[in-house]
Formats: sequence, structure tokens, C-alpha cells
Amino acid sequence: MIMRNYDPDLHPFRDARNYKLALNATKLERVFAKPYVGCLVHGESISAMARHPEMLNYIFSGTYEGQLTLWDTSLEKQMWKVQAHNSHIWSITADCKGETFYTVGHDKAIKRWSCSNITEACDRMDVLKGPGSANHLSEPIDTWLCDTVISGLSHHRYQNEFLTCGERVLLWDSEKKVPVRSFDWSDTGGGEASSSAIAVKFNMIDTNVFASCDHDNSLILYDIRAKDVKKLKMKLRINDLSWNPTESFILSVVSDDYNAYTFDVRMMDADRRIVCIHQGHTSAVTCLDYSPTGQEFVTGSFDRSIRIFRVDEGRSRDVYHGKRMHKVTSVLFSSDDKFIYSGSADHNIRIWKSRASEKMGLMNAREKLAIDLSRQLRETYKDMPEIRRIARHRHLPKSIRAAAKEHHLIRTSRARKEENVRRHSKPGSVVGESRLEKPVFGVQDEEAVDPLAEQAALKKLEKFAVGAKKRMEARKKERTSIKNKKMKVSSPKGEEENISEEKNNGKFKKKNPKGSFKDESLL
Amino acid sequence: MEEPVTRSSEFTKNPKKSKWHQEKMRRNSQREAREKFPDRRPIDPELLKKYNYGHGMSKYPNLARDKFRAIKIKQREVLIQQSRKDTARAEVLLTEQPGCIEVAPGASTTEVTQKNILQAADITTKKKSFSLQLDSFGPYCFQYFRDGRHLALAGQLGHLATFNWLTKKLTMELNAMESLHDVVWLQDTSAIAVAQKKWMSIYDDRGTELHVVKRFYDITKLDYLPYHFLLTGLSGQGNLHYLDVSLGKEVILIQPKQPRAVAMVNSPFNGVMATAHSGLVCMWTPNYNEPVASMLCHKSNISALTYDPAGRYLLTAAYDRKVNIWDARNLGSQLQSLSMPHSVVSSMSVSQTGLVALACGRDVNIYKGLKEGNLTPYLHHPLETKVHQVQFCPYEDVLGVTSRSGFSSLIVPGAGEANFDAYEANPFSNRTTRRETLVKNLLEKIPYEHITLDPRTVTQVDVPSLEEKMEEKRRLIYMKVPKIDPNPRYRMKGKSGSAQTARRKLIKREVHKKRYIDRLKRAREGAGIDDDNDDDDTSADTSDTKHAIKRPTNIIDVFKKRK
Repeated sequence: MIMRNYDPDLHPFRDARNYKLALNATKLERVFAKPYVGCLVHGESISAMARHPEMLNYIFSGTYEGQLTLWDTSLEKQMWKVQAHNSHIWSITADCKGETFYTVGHDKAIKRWSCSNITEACDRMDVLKGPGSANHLSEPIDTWLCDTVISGLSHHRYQNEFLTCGERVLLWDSEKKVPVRSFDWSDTGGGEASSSAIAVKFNMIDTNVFASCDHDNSLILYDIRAKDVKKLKMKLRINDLSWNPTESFILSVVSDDYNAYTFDVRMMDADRRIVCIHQGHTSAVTCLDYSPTGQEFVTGSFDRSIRIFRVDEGRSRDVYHGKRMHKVTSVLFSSDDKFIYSGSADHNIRIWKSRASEKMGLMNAREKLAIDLSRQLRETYKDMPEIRRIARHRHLPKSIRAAAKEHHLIRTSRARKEENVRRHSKPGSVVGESRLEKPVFGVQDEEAVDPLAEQAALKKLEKFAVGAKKRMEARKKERTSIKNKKMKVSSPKGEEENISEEKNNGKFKKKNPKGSFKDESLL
Repeated sequence: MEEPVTRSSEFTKNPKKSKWHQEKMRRNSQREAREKFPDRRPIDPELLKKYNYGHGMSKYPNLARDKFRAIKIKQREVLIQQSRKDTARAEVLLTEQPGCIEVAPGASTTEVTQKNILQAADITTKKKSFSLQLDSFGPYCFQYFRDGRHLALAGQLGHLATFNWLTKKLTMELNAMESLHDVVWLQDTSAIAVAQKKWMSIYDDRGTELHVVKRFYDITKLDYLPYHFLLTGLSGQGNLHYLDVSLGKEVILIQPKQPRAVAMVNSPFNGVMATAHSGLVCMWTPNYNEPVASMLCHKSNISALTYDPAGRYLLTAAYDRKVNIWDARNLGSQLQSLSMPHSVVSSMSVSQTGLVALACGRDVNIYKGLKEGNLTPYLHHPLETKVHQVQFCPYEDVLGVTSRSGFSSLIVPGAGEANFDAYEANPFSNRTTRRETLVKNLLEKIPYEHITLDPRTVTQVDVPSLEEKMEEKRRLIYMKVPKIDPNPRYRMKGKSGSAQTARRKLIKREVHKKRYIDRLKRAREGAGIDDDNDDDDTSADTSDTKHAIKRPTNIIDVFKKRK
């Protein structure tokens, strides 16, 4: 037995010693940060991934060639493989009971597969003559054929309903052959028939609510009860979205402007609709997935890295990259929050630890205590300059580092210019847009009384136009002197948007807002 | 088609009982439970005071950046308070109690001699009392190791020995063949540093001279800071040396401008070195050449200087035959003063429980009541020759005394801390634990830069004092525009001629000046220094309230329209 006496007189320099221990713990944490676990070698580029509804170690993946695969991630082994679609698989999702799962492909087909049968066969290890061989499992249970391409899929949490999106957002019942309902917001409200949706997601808590994003740079919130719908127009396209699994009103999206945004959907009208802008990627962000804890999410980007963000922090907690990892097309958190899967264009699914320095496997009590202590110490002293520097340091590829440097330069010079513009114009005439407002053009608010009534479209358009006009006037009143100022003075610019455009054209061209989304600051 | 189960049915289970009735029932049952199982015993407030980890954020209620952080800090402080209570409660688990002397009513403990104590003591205690006849190489200076088991003796004429004084097993003994001035244990029992005639030497537990540190020249006093791995030395010329033992590097050599220092001791509380220059005590850290604090303790020359093991009290003894006790954390406040009737105190030591041993000529006087604030005589032990040094042994009721005739170990009941902490000083350590402790200690070695008067600096928030704020304001008034040297960009097409460039430079300078003055003006306004008329301020205030942003209230329903 170890004799202890906690008398402070016997333990001098408590704070200084703890600081030193915290410093050591931080250093060790960085030393042990080896997030890469393994790799699932696919033959083709990965386009979609999904968790198995019941098995912790199983994931589904779909490729650009239409191949559907079931993986055992603990064995890093392919369990089952089938040519599911003729063209690439857009999305995979399991149903509410975990018995079946759905895939949608570019071949306009929705297929439903028996999940339980396949898993059972995998458990018996008799997936007849290995993966890929034709058998009773390589045929879907159900197939729906559509007239247009479907690009997204999401299943209701409790009911046998699922959503698909493409040119239209459709609600399907798994028992019926035709869609139950169609949500044709994009045809009517925005006046842009061509803008098809990219992704659609059901809210897991407030199950009547879902959101989609489309090629028209907008983020649309729907309610199945079809009373209120909201549409938010962003300056650049949203590539993927995900609802927070623990807080129903938090929605995170990733955008082409290199950022991820977290919205509070309760305040879509207000200026504070964006809770947090998550910066760090140096190219378009393509995908995201929430951790089951709802505390953080992972994003994958074309800059060949994945980043883990905390929901309320703008700076990423960690960034993972591999030497040979290519553009990341899909990311996935494991159901136990311990692993992250990233599928990239280099035909591989990589398995990462979600906490880079976490020790895997069994631990004895003393080890657990020691780890707990070191975590506490790091937490206590995390704001000391030396410790913060070490904890934040990441080694990054040259390309990312150079791009980040360039973006920083662009941002600062833009801020400087704005400052100069303000300084040289009449006081009060130039009203700067807040950082959280910049990526958003505006919000459109609509009551879709009967979603199938196509005739109401024109009316809605008028209504919207009036609404937009009213808002314009209201804002004009605030800025009485705005009329006097010159055009170029007031042009607000999306930060990252301009980067790409400047690169391409050499000059920045103002983008005309489509439809009735006119922002008077862009006059 | 599973819907989440709603719990509304539970609340309407028993419609007969009213809400009021239910509440009453609940309270009754709670009261019964309290009577049956009374709450934990209240904690002694004195004990809670002992485990005080600082004032927390209550001192600066407005320091948190926002409401969320304020709440988080509060939650954390609740945890800290809880841990404080739990630690105080854990004192029940301590197994040992300190010893004491009980005398007949009316009698005084000062009359109790070592002989009496030994007669009453048990056999293990009796073994701790011994004396060594060392009269040919003396007088000896000595030091107990921090775990209270090992003793190093260095005779002035060259005799050096280390041994386990409980088992009396000799570890090492040698004759250095030159005069020895001081000896000090290093990180563990495997090395000691000895101040020799010319230089300082480091010996291992076999008596091998590992190092001769020639930078430590003519050293008279040595001391060691175990948590910083710093060996400090005071030379005969009054120079102060700092040596990092783990790296073997000299940290700093301070040559004080004050009169030559005669005594030196390190504070166990904050690691600051205190030196006695005639009547002045100076505090030094290895980060400055100047003393970080100094105070006049006596009007005559100081003869001895020591801290108590917790570093709370600083004891100074001087040739005016006075012993002054100072609050080491609140410098300059004298707590007590003691007058010695006969002789000057040549050496002092304070035990872990707060007993004070004073070497006065041929006598050793032990006082108690340091923490209570009134020193009263406790024990008295006369020797045949002049006492050279006294030191209490940690975790033992033992006082070591050296004189011309040798070393003797006296029993002083209630001197040592009864319960040791094995992670700090383990008397029962074996080779493996010693080795591992050394590695752990090295890992948590505190950088010498952290030595400050207040050891909690590292966890404190840097809040500007009123003085600093005033200074900042004063600076604002007399601020001048700093000069800049603009370097305009080179421009083509003959636009970078000297005249053009000069003009652009002038413009830049003017702009810089204007901006600076604007900024200064704003800062002055913010600081409340008004060099303009006050009318502007009032108008600005009203406009602020007019344009105050109305924040929308949160609505839980997702798509509810606002009216």
C-alpha cells in the first residue's frame, strides 16, 4: 500500500509541477497521435458510404462504377459485393428497422436490399464462394425506377418512408410503387426549374423536418406537415448537409467556399442564423458526417484532407491527411464515435481514429487513471501559450500549407481594402456586413399550402417578390445614405468565393443573383 | 411505426391525490430518510482552511469573456470545492499521530532531560538516540536526507561520511584531505555535494568524486532545490551560484552589491533564495541580478537564517541576541521576537510540526508554538562544548546536533510529521522505487524561470493593478506620434522619381499621424480623459440607445413565423 498524506505543506510547488506535467502530457499526446488505422482497398473510387444499422464493424460503400460493397472494418475485409447500379451510386441509407437498406444510383433507380439476409450470410461466412459471386443475395428486394436522376436519399427514423432528391424532392412509401408526395419548391419559388437538389437529410429528432441543398446555392428546410418551408440562399453551392443527432435545431452544411457552416434553424430569419463558420479547408468541402455524440463532425475536402470540427468552434480540432490520399468524396463516423472512415478518389477507404492519440484496446485501472489525469491536466493548462502552441501544431502537406498562407493573405488584404474604403467614404455611408452574414444572400419564406398545386407557382413568385421588396425597403431605410454612394464601394464579397474566381479569371466578376434574390447591397 | 413513448400518462396516474398532497408526501419521506441516515459529518473549518487552493474566480467576477464561460468556470469551481472537502475528509485515513510529552500538573517540560525521555520511551525510539564521538576532525556540519533516513556528515578537517542513521549502516566514508565547509544531499541518496577548500565536489554513494565544479569557488554554504534540480551556493566573497544538476550547467552567477552575505537558505515554499547581509535579508531568484525583495530584519549582523519546512516563516537570529520570526509570504511583517539572555544563536532549525531548535552557545533550546504565535520553551539540552549546528530530522522525532565533541541525536517528542507521503519522500523506498522516482522527478522538473515570490503565478490571471491602470492612463496623455520610415512601392513609367517618392512618403507620414492621433483620441475618451468638450459624449450615448439591436427571442418550434 502506498502511504498518502495530502497535506499541502508536503507537496510544494503544486501549480508549477502540474504545469510541467501538463506540458509533458501535451507533448506525449502529440507524440502518440497516430490516427491512421488501416485501409479498405476498393477497386474503384468511392462515392457513398453508410453505416450498417446493427453491426458496429460493418460499413457499406458505393463506387462511381455502381459497385456496392459490405466491409468488415475490424478484419479490413470485403464481406459482400454486388454490381448494384449501372452508373455511380449516389447514396446509401438503412431503413428505420435495420432490416433493409436502399441505394440510389445515377441510372435513375432506387434499389432496396435485404440487410439482415446479407449480414446473416456474412456471419456464417458463406457468402457463397466469396464476394461478387452471383447468388440470391445479389438481387435487390425492390426496385423503383424514376424519370429523372436521383442524387440523394434519406430515410425516416420511425416510419417506412424515405426521401429522394433530384430535380424534385420526393417522399416515398416503401409499400408503394409511386412517390407519395413531391416537394417542388425549386420549380415554384425560386423560378429556376433547372436547379436540382444535391442532398437531402431527415432530421433524426424532429422527424417531420428535413433539409435539402440544391445547385442553385440554396439550403431549403421542409416540413412534412407542409405548413412552412424556408429557403436560404448562399453565395456558393452547398455540397452536403447533416443534422446534429442530439440537438434537433442544429444543422451543419459544407460548401464550395472551403468552409463548413453550422446553422441554428430556429433563427433562420435572424442575423444569427449561422452559429459558427468552420474554416480550415483549402479547397471545396464535399462531405460531412456528424459524430453520434453530436459534439463534433468530420468533413472531407478536395484539398485531400479530412478535418474534425467541434460544433461550436471555428477552428478544426484535428486534420488528417495521407501521403497518397486523394480528393475525399465521402466521410463517415463509426457508430461508437471511435473511428472515422474516409473514402477518396484513390480507390481506398481509410480508417482513422477519431481521437488521434487515443489508446485502443484493453487498459488496466492504473493506465486509465493516468490517462484521465493527463487529460485533466491538459484541459486545465490548455491556455498556457507553450502548451497551446504544441497542442495546436499539425504537420500539413506543402500544398495545404501554401494554400492556407495564400488565403490568409487574400483575407487580410481584403479586410484592409474594406477598411480603406470605409475610411475614405462619408462616415456611416458604408455599412460593413458581419462575418456571419457574408456567406448568405438572403432567406425566402414560403407557405406551401398544397405542394402539388403547381398553379400556385406564379402567385408565390409574386408574393415572394413583394416580400423581397419589403425587405429591401426596410433595409434601405436603415441605410439612408446608401443611395449616394458609388457602386463599387458597397460590393460585399464572399471571402472564399472570390478566391476561386480570382484564380480562374484573373479579375473578380460580380455574380448576378438569380431569380428574385436581389440583394440591394449588390445593386 | 414506432413513435417515442410519451410520459404524459405517468403524471395522471392517480387523479385522486392532489399535487399539494404529493408534494407533502415527498417532503415527509425525505425528512424520514434524513433522520434515519444523517448526513455526513461537518468538516472542521480549520481543516478546510488547510486545503485552500486559492480564491478562485470569485475575486474577479467580471473576468469571464461571456456568460457561457462564466457558467463553466463556476461549474469547475464547484468541483474544486468538492475535491477540497473530500481531501479534508480523507484525513481520517491517516494512520499515525504525532508524539508529545506529558508532565505532571505544575511541572514544566523544560525540566525533562534526554535521560527521562529515554526511560519512558519504547525500544525503537531508544535506538534513535545515539551519539558519535568525532572529536579529531570536527566541528562537523551535517544534513539529513529528505526521507529522514540518511545522514551526511562533513568534518571541517576533511572527514566525510554518509550512512543510514537508523540502521547505522555506513554507506560511504572518506578523507578529503582538505577543509570541508558544507555538505548537501542532491536528488537522491546516491550523490552529495561538498563545499571543499577551493571548489565544490560531488561524490556518489561509493565515495567516488564524480565532479569537481570549479565555477563554485570558495563556497561556504550550499543548499539544494529538489523540484528544480538546482544547487545553490554562497561563496566566501559573497557571490551566489546556481547550478542545474540535471544538466550540469551553471544557471547564473549573481554578484550582489550588498555587503558580503554570511548565511543563505532556500525557501521550500517558493524556491526563492534568502541571504543575510549584515542586518539585511535579500531574496533572490535565478532570473535577476537584483534581489526581488529585501528587508531589514535586525540592526546588527545576522548570525543565522532559516525557513520552516513549509516555507511559511522566516527565522532570523542576530548578534543583538534576538530571534525574529517573519511571515515569509507577507514580507516585512514581523510576527514574533525572542530575546536570548546569554548568547548569540549560531544555528537554528524548525521541525515539520513547528518546533524551533536554537543553538545558543553550549545549549540547545527547543521552543514550541510557532504556528500559534507564541514561542514557549519546550525542551532544554546542555552540551559540554559549543554547539555547531542543529537540524531536525524529517518524519522523525529526532534532532541532530553537532559540536566540537561530535554528533548526537536527541529525541524531541512531537517534532516530526507523523504521516509521510510516499510520492514525495518515502523512507521505505527500495532500489526500484528510487530509480523510478528519479525519472519521474526529472520529468516534472520545474524550469528555474518559474521561481517567483508567488509560486502560484503560473495559474493566475494577469489582471492589471490599479497602479498599472493609472500608469497606462498617464501614458495616454503624454503620448507622441512615433516616427515611421515609409518605403513606397517602386512604380514604373517614371513615377518613382525622387520628387514623386518624397511626396508619397510625406502623404504616408501625414496619414499615419492622423490615424494615430484619432486612435489616441478614442483611447483617451475610453479612459475618461476628456480633452474636448463633453457634448459629443452625451450625444453619442443617446444615439447608441436609439440604435440598440433588438435580439429576437428564441422560439423552439422550428418554422414558426414571427409576428
